[in-house]
Amino acid sequence: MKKMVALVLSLLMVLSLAACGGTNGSETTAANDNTADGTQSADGSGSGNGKVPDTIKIGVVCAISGTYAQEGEYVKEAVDLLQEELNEAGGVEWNGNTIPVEFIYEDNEGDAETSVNCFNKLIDNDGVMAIVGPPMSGCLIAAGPIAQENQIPTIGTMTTNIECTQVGDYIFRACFIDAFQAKVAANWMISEGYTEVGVLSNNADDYSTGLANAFIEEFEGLGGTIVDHETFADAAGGDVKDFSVQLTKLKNADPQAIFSPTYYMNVPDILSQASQIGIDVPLLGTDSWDTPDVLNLIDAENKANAYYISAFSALNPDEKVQEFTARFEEAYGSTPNSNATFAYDAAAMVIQAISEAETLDGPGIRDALAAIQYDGVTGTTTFDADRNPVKDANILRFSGNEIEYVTSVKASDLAE
Amino acid sequence: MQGTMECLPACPVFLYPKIGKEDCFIMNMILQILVYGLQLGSTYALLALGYSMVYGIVGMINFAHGDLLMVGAYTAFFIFAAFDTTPTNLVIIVGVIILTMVIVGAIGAFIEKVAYKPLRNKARLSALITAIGVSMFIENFPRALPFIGPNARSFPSIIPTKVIQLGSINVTTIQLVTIGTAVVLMIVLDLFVNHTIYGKQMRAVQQNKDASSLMGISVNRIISLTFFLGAALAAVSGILYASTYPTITLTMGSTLGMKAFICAVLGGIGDIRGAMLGGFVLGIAEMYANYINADFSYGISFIILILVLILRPQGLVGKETVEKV
Amino acid sequence: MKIKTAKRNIIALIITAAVYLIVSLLNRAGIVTSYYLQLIVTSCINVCMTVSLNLVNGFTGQFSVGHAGFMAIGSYVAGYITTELIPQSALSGAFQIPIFILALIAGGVVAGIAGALIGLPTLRLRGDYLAIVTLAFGEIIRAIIRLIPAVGGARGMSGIPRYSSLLIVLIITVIIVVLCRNMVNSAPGRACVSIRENEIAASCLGVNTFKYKMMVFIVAAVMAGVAGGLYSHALSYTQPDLYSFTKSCDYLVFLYAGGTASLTGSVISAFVLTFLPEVLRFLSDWRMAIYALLLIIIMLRLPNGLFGGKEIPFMRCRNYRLKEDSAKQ
Repeated sequence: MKKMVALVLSLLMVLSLAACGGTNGSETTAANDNTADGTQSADGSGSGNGKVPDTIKIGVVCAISGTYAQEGEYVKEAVDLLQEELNEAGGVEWNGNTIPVEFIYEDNEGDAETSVNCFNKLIDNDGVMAIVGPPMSGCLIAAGPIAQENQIPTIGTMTTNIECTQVGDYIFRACFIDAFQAKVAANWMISEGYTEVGVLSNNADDYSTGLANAFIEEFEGLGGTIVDHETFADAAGGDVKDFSVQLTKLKNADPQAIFSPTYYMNVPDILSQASQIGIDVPLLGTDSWDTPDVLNLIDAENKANAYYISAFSALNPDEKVQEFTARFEEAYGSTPNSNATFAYDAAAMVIQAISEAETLDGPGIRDALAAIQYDGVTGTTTFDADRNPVKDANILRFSGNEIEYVTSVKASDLAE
Repeated sequence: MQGTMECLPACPVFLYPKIGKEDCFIMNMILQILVYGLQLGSTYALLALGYSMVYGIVGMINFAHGDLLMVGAYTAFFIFAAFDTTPTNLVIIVGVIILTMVIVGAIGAFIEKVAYKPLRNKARLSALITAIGVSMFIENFPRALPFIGPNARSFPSIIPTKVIQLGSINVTTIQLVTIGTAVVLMIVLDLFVNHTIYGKQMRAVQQNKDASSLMGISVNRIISLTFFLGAALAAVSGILYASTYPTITLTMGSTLGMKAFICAVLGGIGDIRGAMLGGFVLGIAEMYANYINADFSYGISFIILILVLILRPQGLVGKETVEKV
Repeated sequence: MKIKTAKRNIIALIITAAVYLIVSLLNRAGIVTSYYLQLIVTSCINVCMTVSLNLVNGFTGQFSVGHAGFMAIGSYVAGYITTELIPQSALSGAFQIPIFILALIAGGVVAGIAGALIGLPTLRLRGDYLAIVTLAFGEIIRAIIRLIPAVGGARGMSGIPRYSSLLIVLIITVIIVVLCRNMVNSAPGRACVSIRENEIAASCLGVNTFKYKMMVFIVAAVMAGVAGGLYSHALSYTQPDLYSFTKSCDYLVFLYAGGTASLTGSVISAFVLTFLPEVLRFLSDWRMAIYALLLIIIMLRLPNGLFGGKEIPFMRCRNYRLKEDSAKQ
């Protein structure tokens, strides 16, 4: 035993010595690493000194396999549409040259750790200039620092969590933030005359909790009352299927409406159980509900009175939306959802930023992105100082198993 | 709030004068949740039976058992999808369910033959690892098949949903069918194990493989039969579960499997009646915990498990075993 | 004997130095990019986890399936110390590493205490129950962490300083592997192997089986805690769902594919199986299915894993070749 203790102690000493001595070493290698990367990308894909690269590579990170594969599919399809457009045009115009663009897809399985590997791989092995995605907040928060360190501009697509763009000034997002969505929800509730509202949220999910709390604050600020806040704990996205206890409690609290920011996999179960339990007041969901999957999964005889907020609706009569929807439907036979549209817009913003960039490198593209005035499918987008876009929102409604367009909420109307 | 009149029928008569409106309200809630708990417990119990039977007979934890529930739900889904319209004829529905049971039962027995049998006399833990591998395979192989894919499916509503008012509590037809089917199947299984020649052989093999082999019992066949029965029950459990919660996914079995396993331990692993009891106890406990606090409900099954292991490691009805040298 | 141990330790040090030099040279030359560096770091962390799990499952013959739970504790404790208590910005460069080491040790200690709390009631029971309780423990830890707002709840902690450089991770990995080897080689190690071979016989011969089981379990928990600390500082991010049952299963797979009671096997399989999914990435949807199939085939063909009971020379423990059916109970 004594020998072991002695061994541990001596090893610890060696370690601390080695560690202290080694810090400098590892720091210098890290520094060298960066410069090596810099020169690499300068050789490989050109840089600001007027040299034009052969192709521009842009990384796309989304889930191609795993639980979230369905969502990743939309991202891929949408970006493929843009790729087609670019192929027809021969590439992106920059400084009078037309440079072909290549999108490189990496599968992050919807997993934070894998996203980190994807970012490293795209940046180091493929030498991408910018990254589109990942669609989920947690993944971007985990992988964002890598893009930031390497000065690679990144646009998250459905990353609504406020923390995403706080990672650093190279991280942008294409969608509105949770706080804005909560504001839309609260304002809509009040404008419809619902002042006593219940909330159902997922305690194990950051998106859901964040939205619920922001909504409660906003709604109470507008003079409303929260009669009941029920939670469930679903960590895996669709693992919890029974909401009957929560819904029964909500029903007994007798609200005029229910706000339910939940992951889409929970929606069919919540709706069918709500109607079985006899809840007939409106349920308002959030942008995560916006996937055709929900439509396919809910009962045709669904009687729940369900609305949801979405940044994009294929039913929005806006001309650009209709044009994009028609193209997407023609190519894939399905209606695009916000996930697809945001991915398209994010990728298109990167392309526009590249064409407007003064220098063809990370900082150049970043500056162009920050100053962008992009006229896209989801409306005209500009970035505020925190790299969050300013956008409009739509309210939609499930009717049987059809979606109805209800109304649009203009961002400008809500600004304080 | 509900009126006093509405809630009265559910309250025991002798309490009428003593209770106020609030108490009565809570009383209803308790009864209502009991129904939810029994329904969930039915799923757990049917699934726990498979764990318990397999453990009793080959002494291994079949980690892939929960996934057979998913296989059952998907098999039934595809059989129903083969019809033009979802059948409403009771005979056809029961026929489909039996067909699903046979298919999934065969899959269960096949898994045993291929993956577990070669390891029967080897280290017990390597069979467990194989079971984890089988579970991973069952969850991920269909994902890669183009006609199944990773997407969730919507299970057809084979049981027409009607809400029945029992006093002031609501019971749906699905809840009644689920609980009823589970109870009937359990009684049948219990009769089978205790009153048929095959059941007798199963019990013999459970007690001593070598001795029963000497008595002329085909041990391999009995083990296959056990896996078949366990898987078939898991399939029914899957169909009932999918009728209640129609969104079916490839991973739906994993958490359920874990919970069902806890039920089996709770009742005393290896004991068939214990597994049934454990299933209902856990289902009800989970629902009440959910009522108190949703976060609590997540951990309740594990807390119960640890308490049982510390206080009564042989389970609620299990017999204490002494290891012989 | 002493000289032999010293010699072995020197060999270990030389190997570490050589690996480090080669990797950093290749890195400078641009052949090993930071993508691969990250993978190597992850592999090393997986080695720590697998080797420590091997102590419990391989050498002592117990069955712990919630190893990721201890990892979660270590990762959160260490992460909390370096992010919230003593943030990077408050430290000059020279103090960062010692603080990091302290944080790792703290993470290990807390994980060890958790290990003791779980081991106390369950290690007296039969093996299967330990499996269930550790499984339950892994789930409960996640559920609890999710409810603690100070460490970010379900969202997890971001902005953890990236202290886990290749050098530090490599050194700690070597220390853990060497410690495990020496432990297996020591008198308590022999007691543990005797428990695996036949617990009743061992206790008849006067081995305090409970004491040694507890000891091994706690040591493994401490090591997993340290590995968890390294993990969160390598990802610069930690989240409860990173430590799910799936993660624990990964380590079981690493362990059994590599071979029980073989440190060499654990090290090699942790490296190979960390790289394999990345290499198989092009298979996308088929990947997990193939991975599972490989696992089944390995277990059927080689129930003791690829290196069951075998070691390469400098890792060799004195005794116990694993007999074909020695783990049978």
